[in-house]
Amino acid sequence: MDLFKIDPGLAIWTWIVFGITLTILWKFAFPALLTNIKTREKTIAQAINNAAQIEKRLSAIEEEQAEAIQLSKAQASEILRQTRNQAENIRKELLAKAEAEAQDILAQAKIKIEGERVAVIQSIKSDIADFVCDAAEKVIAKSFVSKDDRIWVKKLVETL
Amino acid sequence: MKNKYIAYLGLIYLLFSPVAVLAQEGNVSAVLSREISNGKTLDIFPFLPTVQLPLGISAHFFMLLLSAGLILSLFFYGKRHLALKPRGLLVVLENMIGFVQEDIVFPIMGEAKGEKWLPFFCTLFLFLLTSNLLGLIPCFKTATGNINVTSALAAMILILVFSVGIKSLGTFRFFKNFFPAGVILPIGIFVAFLEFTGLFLKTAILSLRLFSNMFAGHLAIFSFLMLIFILSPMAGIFAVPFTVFTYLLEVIVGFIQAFVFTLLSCIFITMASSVHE
Repeated sequence: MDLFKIDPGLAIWTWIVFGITLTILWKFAFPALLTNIKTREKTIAQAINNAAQIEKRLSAIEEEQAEAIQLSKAQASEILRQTRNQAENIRKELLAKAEAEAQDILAQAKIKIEGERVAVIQSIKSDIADFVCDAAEKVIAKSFVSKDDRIWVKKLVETL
Repeated sequence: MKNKYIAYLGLIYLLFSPVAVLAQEGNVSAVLSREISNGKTLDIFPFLPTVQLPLGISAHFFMLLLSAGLILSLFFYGKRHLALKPRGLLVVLENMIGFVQEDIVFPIMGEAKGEKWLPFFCTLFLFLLTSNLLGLIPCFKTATGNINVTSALAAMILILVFSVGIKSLGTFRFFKNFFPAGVILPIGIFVAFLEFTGLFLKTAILSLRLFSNMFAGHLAIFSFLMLIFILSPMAGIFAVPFTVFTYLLEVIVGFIQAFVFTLLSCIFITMASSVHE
């Protein structure tokens, strides 16, 4: 079988064909292709680098955002606490004021009621004295009650 | 859909066209011999006259030229369609280059040295791959199934091993590398002899490995097909699936052998230019 036959011609032609192919490719095709591949690799590396930087910035922004949110929350809760305190103080003040006013009104009312009570009692006593005098006059059918007597009776009734 | 069926039929026709030739001639050994030998003719289509190759060139040389032509076409197509976002064949080409670069050259030689050698190993890998795979097209032949072709490539590697080794280390240090350090002289000479002959043997095995794999694969495919004619037409029930399986296996073997040859060549050349501890 001629596959095992030594054929120097074919061996030399193999070298020549391979050599020519290699030379042509090395000189004309590989530089452009390898440059293109390198450019792409650089572009990809740059894109990855940019993406990493963007990610870093994003995470920094996120951290800042989280900090700001936390700060805002703290401030909000502080404001809320202060507002609650103020509201509580105002409520207490208002309540105290209202209570004081109520007490005042109550005291005035009591004084007024007392005054009116005294006046009413006075009036009742005066009416009773008059009534007593009128009744006495009718009983004895004689007007014995002078003006001075009436005053005297009234004073007597008032002392009761 | 219709085109798809036509393509399938075409593929089946191409795959079994040697059978058709066989059926036409009825002489098993003559067809087998012609199919795997390095003749001056090609049976491009069965039932048609055999094509006489021009200028009296042999079939394997023609296949080498075809491989070189295909590689050159692929590279110049790639060069013409260069883009940052590759498409079509450029993707295939760049992946091949990337594969040789990342899986063969750079891990063994390092980036600085590897960049200089990348075009050589890329060309070698693609040359072998194309030659291996072209032989799988029915009626075509495998140039790497000829020991003269694989020996020529292995001899080229041997020459490179010597020239690179001598250039980078100097003649004395290159040959001194074969002597192990710290052993007595007789053992040193014996080991140096083994190392030196080993270098020739390793490259010879490089050649034989590629040749035997490609040759045996094709022989297996033809052997399965010929069972139909030697035994009975019913043998086709087993022979055809086995042939298809072997054929698909040969595609993988074609890739693996191109990879192994390139990888070992890269290792031998790198070892020659480095001082052994």
